[in-house]
Amino acid sequence: MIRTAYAEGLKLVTLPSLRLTLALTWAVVLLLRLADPAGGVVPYARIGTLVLGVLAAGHEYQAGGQIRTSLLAVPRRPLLAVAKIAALAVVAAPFVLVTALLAGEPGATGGLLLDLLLAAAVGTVVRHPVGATGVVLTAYEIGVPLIRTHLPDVAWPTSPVWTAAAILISVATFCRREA
Amino acid sequence: MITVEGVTRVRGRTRILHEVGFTARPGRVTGFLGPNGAGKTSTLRVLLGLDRPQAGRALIDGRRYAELERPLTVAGALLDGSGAHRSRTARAHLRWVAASNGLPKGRVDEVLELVGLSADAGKRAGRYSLGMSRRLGLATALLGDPPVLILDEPVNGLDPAGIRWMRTFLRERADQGRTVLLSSHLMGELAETADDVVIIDQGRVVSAGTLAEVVGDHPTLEDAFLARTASRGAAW
Amino acid sequence: MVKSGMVNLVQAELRKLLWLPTAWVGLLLGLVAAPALVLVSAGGTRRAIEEGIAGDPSDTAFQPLGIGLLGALILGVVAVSSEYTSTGEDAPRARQLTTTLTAMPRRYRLVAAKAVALSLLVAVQGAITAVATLVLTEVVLGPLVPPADPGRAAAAVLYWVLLGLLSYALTLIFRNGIVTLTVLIVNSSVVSVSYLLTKVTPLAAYLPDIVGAHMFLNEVGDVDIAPLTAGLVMTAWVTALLGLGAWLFERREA
Repeated sequence: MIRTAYAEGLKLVTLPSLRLTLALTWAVVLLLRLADPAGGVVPYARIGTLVLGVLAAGHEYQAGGQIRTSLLAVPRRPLLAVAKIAALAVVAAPFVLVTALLAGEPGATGGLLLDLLLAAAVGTVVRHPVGATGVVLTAYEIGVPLIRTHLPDVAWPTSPVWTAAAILISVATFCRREA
Repeated sequence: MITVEGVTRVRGRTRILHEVGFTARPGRVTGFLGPNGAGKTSTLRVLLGLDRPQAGRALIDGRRYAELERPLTVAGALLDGSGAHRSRTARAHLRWVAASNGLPKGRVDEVLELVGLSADAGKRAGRYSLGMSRRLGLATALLGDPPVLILDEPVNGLDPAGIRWMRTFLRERADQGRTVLLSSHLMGELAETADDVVIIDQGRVVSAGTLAEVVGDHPTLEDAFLARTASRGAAW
Repeated sequence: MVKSGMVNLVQAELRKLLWLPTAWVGLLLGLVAAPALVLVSAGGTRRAIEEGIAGDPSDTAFQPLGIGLLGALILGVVAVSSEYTSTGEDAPRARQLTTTLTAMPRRYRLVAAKAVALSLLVAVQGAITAVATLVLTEVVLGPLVPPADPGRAAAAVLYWVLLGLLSYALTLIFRNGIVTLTVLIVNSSVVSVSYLLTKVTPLAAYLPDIVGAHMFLNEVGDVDIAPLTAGLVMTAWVTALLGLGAWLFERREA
């Protein structure tokens, strides 16, 4: 388990697109703090963490067929699925903390990390990073605000519940389908 | 030792594999031969736990691939492409694969040297030529120094020098006592390399045995192959 | 001969787009989202109008059209990104683009043909959605909103086409669908960076994704821009970015 999670961590830290996304996120967060928006900078930082989550999971399915190598190296799918989530949470946590600090709200770290894991779950299910980005961003930035505005009285589950549900679905899908 | 027994696989309404069975023995190169779409890759994918059969079983040294603790030390596989993400360097790719199976870091440089990629190890996999991609895939298969090698069309995309290199390389592996199973649709190539031959057509094994047995009275392996797969070969 | 050549190109590009599953996601999303929003928001909108906090009532019918734009954005992105997706695992550098360029080596014409195909698709989609949305608003809200002005509906469809082309141009420039989608989705949402910039400088109201809305809405942000001016500025942006995209596409190796 430790071995598999370590390998998944190595994958994450050697992927250029993740570094680029993180750098862009930090740059935008710092710039926007100058503009000092009414709702704070965290909503903007969230966009970056969502894209990070999608890419971290979805990069397996980009050109090159890396997912097959992953499954050949670790054919026990439940083990691989859990190791992936654990590695992503551990690797991403410090970077998300820095993001939250840069945004001026260190308390937002937990929420951002949950969003990132949810985005990763969507990336695993959709298997198409561009499509998953569209789904996640539309849901978060357009769908949720609309629902909140128009159906304010409905009691929605909280963020950890959503993330847990998304992860469960993604693990089940990952273990069941053929590569 | 590879044992495939009664593997049947159905996708949608199509029966891709119909009770496929054969063995590949240690110390020998087994050629898995068939026209395009005959079920070669499907069989190998079942063998490697990527696809699930509806019936039958495919075992490596008596165990299912998906049950193996450190599979890369038992069997190495080369499927199409390099299996590496385009933007990762070859070395970074091999590093994580090695780590996932608890293999020492030093193995990475050893296999890079072995397949002749040492000089290009820092390049991104997406910048590799077709031949280099295949070598990177082979390096991944060799990481765990496995006693069993499973290769899908290994000479696809290699130049003449690369083909000869691959042939010699696989021969040496078999002579060391390893099991080598390779699929191909290139008759001439296989006749040069294989000790044993399994011919598959339309999802069924139509012939299996030593090279001499399979060729039988036919002048060449190609004639034997075309005679046994005539149902479709005539389309050309 | 030349003319029929271009028609063939456009037909080929249309066919390619319509074969993509993701393009259908974009088409359906564009068609369904705005009418659905009318239904979901009906109660709240009625209350807002009755309490007199809804702003310009003639905007009410048009506001839901903004969300259907996502469909046009997705279509613009997939028109390019599908070309850059690898087609075969054993050929790491083979992409549909290689085939496309072999079939149509003149790249400017290819860019133009794709743009025409995309515009046609988005225009049809936009027209159907606009009619459906306006009729539905009429049914649901009835006398509360003034009858929709056909000119403004046409402007809204034109805005869709221009945004589809903008997303196409940006994807050509970035060669990455994720960047384009992120920028455009975020900017059409409540956390729009462009909108934030308008707080810093009023000039930001002329950024393409904001100025376009003035084409068919009376109240957008704090700056007033006439529909015609808005349309011209938006067209200028799209032309410039498409030009840049086409120029880069011509210069780059496939």
